[in-house]
Amino acid sequence: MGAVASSALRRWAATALAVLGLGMLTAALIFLASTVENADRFGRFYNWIFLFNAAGAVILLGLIIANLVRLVRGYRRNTPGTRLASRMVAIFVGLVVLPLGLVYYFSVQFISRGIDTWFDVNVEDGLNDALELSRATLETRMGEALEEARQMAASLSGYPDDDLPRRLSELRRESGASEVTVVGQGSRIIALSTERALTELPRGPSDEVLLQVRQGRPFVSIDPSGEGYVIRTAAVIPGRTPLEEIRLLQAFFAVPARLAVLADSVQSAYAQYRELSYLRAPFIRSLTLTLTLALLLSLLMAVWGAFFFARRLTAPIESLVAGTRAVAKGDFDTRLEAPARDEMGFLVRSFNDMITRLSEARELARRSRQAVESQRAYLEVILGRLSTGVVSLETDLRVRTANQAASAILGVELEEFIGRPLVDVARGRPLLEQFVEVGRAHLEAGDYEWREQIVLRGEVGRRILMCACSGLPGEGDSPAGFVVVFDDITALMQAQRDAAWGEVARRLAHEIKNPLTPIQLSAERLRRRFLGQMSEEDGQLLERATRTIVHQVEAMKEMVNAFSDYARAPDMEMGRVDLNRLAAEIADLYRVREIAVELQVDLDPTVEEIEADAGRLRQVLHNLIRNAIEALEGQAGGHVTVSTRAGQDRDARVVHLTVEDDGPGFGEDAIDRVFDPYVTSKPKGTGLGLAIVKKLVEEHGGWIDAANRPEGGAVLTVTLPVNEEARSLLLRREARSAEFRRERA
Amino acid sequence: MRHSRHNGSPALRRTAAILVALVLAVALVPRAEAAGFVQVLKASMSLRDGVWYLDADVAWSPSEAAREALDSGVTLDVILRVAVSERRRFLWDPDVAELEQRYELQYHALTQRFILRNLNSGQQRTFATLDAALRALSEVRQLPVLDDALLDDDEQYDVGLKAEMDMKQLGGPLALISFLWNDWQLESEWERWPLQR
Repeated sequence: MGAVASSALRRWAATALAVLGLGMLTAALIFLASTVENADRFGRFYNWIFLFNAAGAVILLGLIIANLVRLVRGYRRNTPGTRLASRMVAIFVGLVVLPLGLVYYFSVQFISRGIDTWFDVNVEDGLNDALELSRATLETRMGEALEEARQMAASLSGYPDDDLPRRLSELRRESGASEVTVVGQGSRIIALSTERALTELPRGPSDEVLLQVRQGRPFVSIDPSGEGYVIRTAAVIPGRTPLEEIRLLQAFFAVPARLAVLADSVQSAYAQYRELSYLRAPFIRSLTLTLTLALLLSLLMAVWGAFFFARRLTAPIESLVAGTRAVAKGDFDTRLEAPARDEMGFLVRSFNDMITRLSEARELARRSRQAVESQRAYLEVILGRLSTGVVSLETDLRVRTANQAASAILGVELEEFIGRPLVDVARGRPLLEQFVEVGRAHLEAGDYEWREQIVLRGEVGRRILMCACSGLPGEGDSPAGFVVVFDDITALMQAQRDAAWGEVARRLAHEIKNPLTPIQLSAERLRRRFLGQMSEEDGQLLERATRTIVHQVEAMKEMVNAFSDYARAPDMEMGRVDLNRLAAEIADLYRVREIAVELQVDLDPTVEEIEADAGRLRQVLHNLIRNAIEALEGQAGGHVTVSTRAGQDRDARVVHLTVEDDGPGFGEDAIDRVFDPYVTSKPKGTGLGLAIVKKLVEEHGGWIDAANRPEGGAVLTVTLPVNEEARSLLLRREARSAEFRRERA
Repeated sequence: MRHSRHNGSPALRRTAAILVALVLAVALVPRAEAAGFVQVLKASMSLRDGVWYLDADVAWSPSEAAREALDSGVTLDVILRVAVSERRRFLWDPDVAELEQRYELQYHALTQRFILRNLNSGQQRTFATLDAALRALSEVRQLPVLDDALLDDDEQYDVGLKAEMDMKQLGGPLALISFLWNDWQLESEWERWPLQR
């Protein structure tokens, strides 16, 4: 604000100074012109005025040179506005120089010729003649006066001194002289007669008079005096004897007033003419110089004015360019100082308005970008945390985005394939291939909004995905892309199944177990009551029947107990368990003659003690080994291998317990449901073995996988957390996905 | 708006240098050598009746240009400047009295005589020749300068005399002539001598 005010003040001061200076110079020029026109008015100050003008011209020249230097420098540096300013200056100067030059040329010619014409030969001759005529007239008068003087001198020869004054007065009156003097030796005045006041000193003979008279010649001269002309004459008074004192008579005669006036007029005209004629050349020079100065001053003023106005006009352009550059560099705080209320001012104000609006728009854009950015980050976080897979695709099925969950579910790091067609990515990846096939079928049919449960068959079992697709809003009816959202609901389905089976088991235990005891008791009572009373044949029948009933009830009880165990397990008793030792112990139990299976143990010595319920682990091992042995029943030379391995599941330390056999393996359809109750490929068994194993393993926070070996046979792998820390990590992970699945469900 | 002020000072310096060069060029233009001269040959002051009078002999020799100008009717101004100053050791010497005796010398074409007019007294004398007029001009006799009462007995004084001749001051553009082409201008040095009491 201060800088603006000071710059405005400076501009005003500069303008005021310029106006003042120009005003003074103009005034000086007018003075100069005025003195040329009439010398009496300011004639005395002419030199000063001239000097002032000259100084003004020098200052202006200096200013112009400074301006020119600046302009040239600006031109070389390509300073904005310089080219326009140079053009304007050139035009201004061109416009001024030509007419001024013409005027100057004609003026100089006019002065020179005009002054020359004043001094006409005829005029000069006329004036000379007039002077000669006046002189002749005066000379006639002088001759007469001299004659009078001579006569007076002759009449005074031998005249006695005592009567001399009276005689002189007579002679003076008679001759019409104004003053008559008789002068003796040594310029001594002997007698005097004058019509002038006696207070004035008598005029003695001058040296000139004495010299001439002494030579014996009478003297006559005419002197201009204040009132007119005086003729001075002198003649020697002839002596009677040669030894007598030489005396002379000096007489003054006034030239008649009329004649004096005329003579004066001629004299002054002649003198003036001669003076002017003499000073003609310097006069012309002087006038030319004055004219040159005036022209130079006008020219310099015009040139300086051209610079001044060009700068004034281009200054806003210069600041506009500077402002534009600043804005181009991103400085939106630039505000230009608006000049006067002209078109330039309007332009500058418009520029300022534009910058204000641009700045606002940019701020708005920045804010909305920020909002979008934060929204995107928010979405990214959400998508990253989601256990639901989200993949967005272009219309040509190229991957646009994919979150981590999508990669995890589909078993492909989709983020690495962004921008590549999903079809290409799926090639050689059976799980993804099935997924893509289902999706593509919908999209090719023009079905952009669909929802479907997809079952993917993989090497390690089925994956059930709940999949939904939506088209992204695009132009017209065609979508701009698709978003496919899918969720792995395999575990959810399993959990549902588990829950259902648990319920069945509980009901069975409850509903079936209750009547079993009365049935058994009733059968035993029947036998006890009626066995003795019956015939042997009937008795045997009863005996067989009741035994069968009791046996079957026992079997049913066993079965119900097993169900009961499945539905409701006792509390966990966690402790340190050496898995290797436990596995070896239990394997030893099955190395008996009745079992025609070769049991091998492959234990990893790095497997450390794990935190687990020893009883439950024992049951897990029993069930798995028994399951394997039962699978090999009827097959000669079967092998079962029990192995342990220390491992890592992401950040949790785990151990893997694997039981393999080289039996027939799981049926293709059954592999997904091997852990369901009553799913068995064997003639014997309750069908609860693996279901219970799965349940026990899950109670430890682990999991079990079933697969077929490529060379034939089945492999069951139990993964267990090593300690509480690993368990909680695994459980947390499981809980997160389970929670989400519940929400989805 | 700062940007327009850059490099102002070198340009200013350059302009100043150019101006100085111009002024020097004007100042050093050799003045037309005046062929004539004027010189104070001798000068003295004498005290009579409590008044100091100046007696001096001044040699006048106007240049050809001045003579020609005079013949052409141009009036010449003749000035005798007398100054009495107090002599001081450390400070400047202040003038106690200053006197300017001005004459006008003119040729009267009609009567073919030279008129010498004392502008201070109004008296005029005419001469048949210029030399006679110059002779009359060269003798300065008993010119009253100052009253003795104005002088301090304890102080010492110097008297200075200077003679000048120039064309009569003209008005208008002609003033420029006497300013620029002053061939007829004569000026003596200041002749200074102590006032003997």
